[in-house]
Amino acid sequence: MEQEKVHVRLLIIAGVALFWMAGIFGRVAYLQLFLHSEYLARAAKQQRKRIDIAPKRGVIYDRNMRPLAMSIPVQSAFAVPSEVKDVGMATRLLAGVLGIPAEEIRQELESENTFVWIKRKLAPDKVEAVQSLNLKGIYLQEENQRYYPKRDMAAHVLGFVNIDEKGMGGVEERYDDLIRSKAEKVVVMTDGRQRWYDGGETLRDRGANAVLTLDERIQYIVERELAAAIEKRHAPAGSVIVQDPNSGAILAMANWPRFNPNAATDSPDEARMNRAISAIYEPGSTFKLITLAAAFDQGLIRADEVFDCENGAVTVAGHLIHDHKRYGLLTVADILANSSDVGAIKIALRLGSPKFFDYIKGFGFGTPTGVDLPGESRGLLHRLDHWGSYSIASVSMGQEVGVTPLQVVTAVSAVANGGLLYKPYVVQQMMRGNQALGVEGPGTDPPRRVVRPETAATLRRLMEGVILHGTGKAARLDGWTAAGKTGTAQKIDPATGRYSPKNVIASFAGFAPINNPAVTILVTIDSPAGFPHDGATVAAPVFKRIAEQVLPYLDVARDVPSSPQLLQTAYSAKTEDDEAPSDDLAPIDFSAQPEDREESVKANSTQTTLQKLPEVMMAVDEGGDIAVPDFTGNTMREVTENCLKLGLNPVLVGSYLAIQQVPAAGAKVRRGTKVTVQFGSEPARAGKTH
Amino acid sequence: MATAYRWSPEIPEGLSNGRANVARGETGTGRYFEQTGIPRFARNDGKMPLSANSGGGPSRKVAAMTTRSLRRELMGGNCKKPAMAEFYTVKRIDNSRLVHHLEPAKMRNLFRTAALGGIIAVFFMLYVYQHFRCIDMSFQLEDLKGKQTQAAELNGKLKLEIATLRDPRRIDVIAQHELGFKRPEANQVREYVNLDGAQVAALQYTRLNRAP
Repeated sequence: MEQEKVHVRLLIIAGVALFWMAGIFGRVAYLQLFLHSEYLARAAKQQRKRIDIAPKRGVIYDRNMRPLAMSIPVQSAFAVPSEVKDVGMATRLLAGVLGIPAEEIRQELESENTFVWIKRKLAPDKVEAVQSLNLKGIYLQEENQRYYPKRDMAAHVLGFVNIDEKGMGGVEERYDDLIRSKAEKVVVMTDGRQRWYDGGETLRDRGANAVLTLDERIQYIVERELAAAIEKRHAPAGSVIVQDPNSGAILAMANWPRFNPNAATDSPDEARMNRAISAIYEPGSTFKLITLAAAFDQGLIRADEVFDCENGAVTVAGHLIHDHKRYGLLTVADILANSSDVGAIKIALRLGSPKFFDYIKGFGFGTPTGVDLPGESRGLLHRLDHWGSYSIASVSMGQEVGVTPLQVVTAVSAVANGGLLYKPYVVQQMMRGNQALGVEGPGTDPPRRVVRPETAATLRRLMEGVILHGTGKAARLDGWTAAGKTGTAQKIDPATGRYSPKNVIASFAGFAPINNPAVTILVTIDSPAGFPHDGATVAAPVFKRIAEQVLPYLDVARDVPSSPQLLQTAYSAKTEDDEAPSDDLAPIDFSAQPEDREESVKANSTQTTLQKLPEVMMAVDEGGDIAVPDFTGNTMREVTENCLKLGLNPVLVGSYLAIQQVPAAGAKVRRGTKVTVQFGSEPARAGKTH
Repeated sequence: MATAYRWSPEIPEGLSNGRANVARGETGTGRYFEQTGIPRFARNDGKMPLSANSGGGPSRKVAAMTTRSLRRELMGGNCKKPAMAEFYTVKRIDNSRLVHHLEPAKMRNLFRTAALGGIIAVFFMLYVYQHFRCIDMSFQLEDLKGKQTQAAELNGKLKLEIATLRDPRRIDVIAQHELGFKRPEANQVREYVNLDGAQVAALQYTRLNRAP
């Protein structure tokens, strides 16, 4: 009986347990089978979070991988108005911390939107202040801020970005789709404490990095000299371009006025304009290069051919044109060196409008160069059928045609490199990580031949004459040969509609050295004040200062010995302790000095050595020790043999007998220096006029 | 007479004084038994038969009791069931020398089942462990990713600072205005051969071979 009682109790307990278990399993089954999808969705909603990844722009480097533009993450404050309990308090606190008018904040917080910006891209101290307020409904979100660490350097080339990190102008705009990564939403898994435990693998489209052709140092040199010239001449605007004539790469592009892309909206629109590619001006006398190039290439003139410049005045189609000086008989070389308008007109008339027009178009005028920057102007070139009877004369002098500085420097580079017109470009390559992106651009386009190499060689020599004994003497370099052309173009006075005698655009276009040019430089100064204000006075010195800093930076070997004045300068700096008095032109003998200073050298004490050095450090380099012979009248074989014997590198242009050479006879050069010798027929007799 | 058997070496008191006949005996199995007779009274008006030594006294008293009342008294007073002869077997069993026989097949099955169950349990625990370990490592991974991101951000900021400090204009201003440097003239910048010794000393002595 007891057992039965026990048995019953056990059954009761078992029954209760079974009932309990059945209840639990039933509930589990119900949840798993019937409510599975609902709870799964709820769990996903709780655990999954969508995170917005702000787009990040790639870095823009110069050619030596120095960063010019980069982005870093910053915090932006936003509000969810529905979560803000005390709008008044939040408004007061935020206005005090962020320095925004309270009314603006109140408007945002009282709006019906679910998301409103309070202030974007805050400084770190403001971020801390907002965090310390700990206001409900006010949150911080990460965004990216674009910075330009070099401030206004190369601002027109780089461009800038707006608040949404979209490129505006320059490389930022041109390559915006590559530089800017896409905004993404990333799904992450979070636990109950909102900690991430599965961030997921995101295939982020990282913004590509851009490597420019610009050199930061050259850009700085150019900007500094341009600013100095602008200040000295009180000019309102100007631009300088430095280009590699052998590839079309832009090494520097500077404009005035400038702007700071870190605060681009604070600058006027005029300051943000890239004058080097957008501003159109009449080139003036620099365009005579095109006139002569066309005539030479057609074989219509020779360098020594004499033209009658009519004593400074000529009538074309009823228009009387005055030269800036009364010139009589001038050779073609002198026409260019002295920039005779009459001479250029006569040459153009011999060429004829159709051929002249073809060469103008061939040199790239009247069409955009295709540079990889936005906003390039095509210039202004009337169609041939719109040319008047007087147009050929105007255009030959560089009037009635509008060009951009980039078009001019590209054309001059074609002369410098032997007749090939390269497309200018500023972006060397685009990279994503370490991988280069194959981007089609002007840098990959093959050059186009515009004139024959002989024509280019002739023109180079004539352009050297501009500097040696023409209008460009102020551009003569100390240590390097150079070639160029001055330009002084009158601007049209908007009030009268005529050319203004006061407002001109002074320019100088040139390259250096003559043999194997390393750089082509164009300087344009808009409306320099005072007189004289021509290209020779205003722009040529700027060319000189820039070239003399850029060429040693590029390790371009000197091809001209130092002038005697340098020796004199060096001697005058000698200290009283120096042994022998020397003549002005006596060379400094350093041979004994290393032995005297042997101890200091062996001790390797730089400080000691510095103390013993003279105050002004002069190390006179008189150039090479090979005197270039006079090749005039020699055959090509003779020239080649002589050069090889001396260890020089001959470049032979033309045929028959040697008539011209660069460097000139007697110049001291180093072993391996390139010597260009032009060959041709016997020179024309004097007295032949046209 | 009901007979009850009890496994006891002793005769309980009260039963050896004539109330019941206790018989002692030994069974063939070596068990001792005691017979506690609860006499079933014959139909003699329910009166107890006289005992062997009845002569009065307690036997008389006993004789005067009915069977039921006697049973009741004997059994503690609440006996409702009819008296039965109950035999209590007093059995002394010595198991000290018993050998428990284990069946090998059963044991093998048992071990096999235990092993299988253990393996399954181990796998289950391993799976659970891996699952939670994975989650734990995910937390660590996300934590490290966060640190990496912070380090990368700091790296970017430092690079920006370096680039700003390397601004050529800034260096130019410091060099000229603070350190008193002067920009060299074009003729002061010369190519030089790097001789042994201090570089500055080498610059002073650069001069190529000169023709007399």
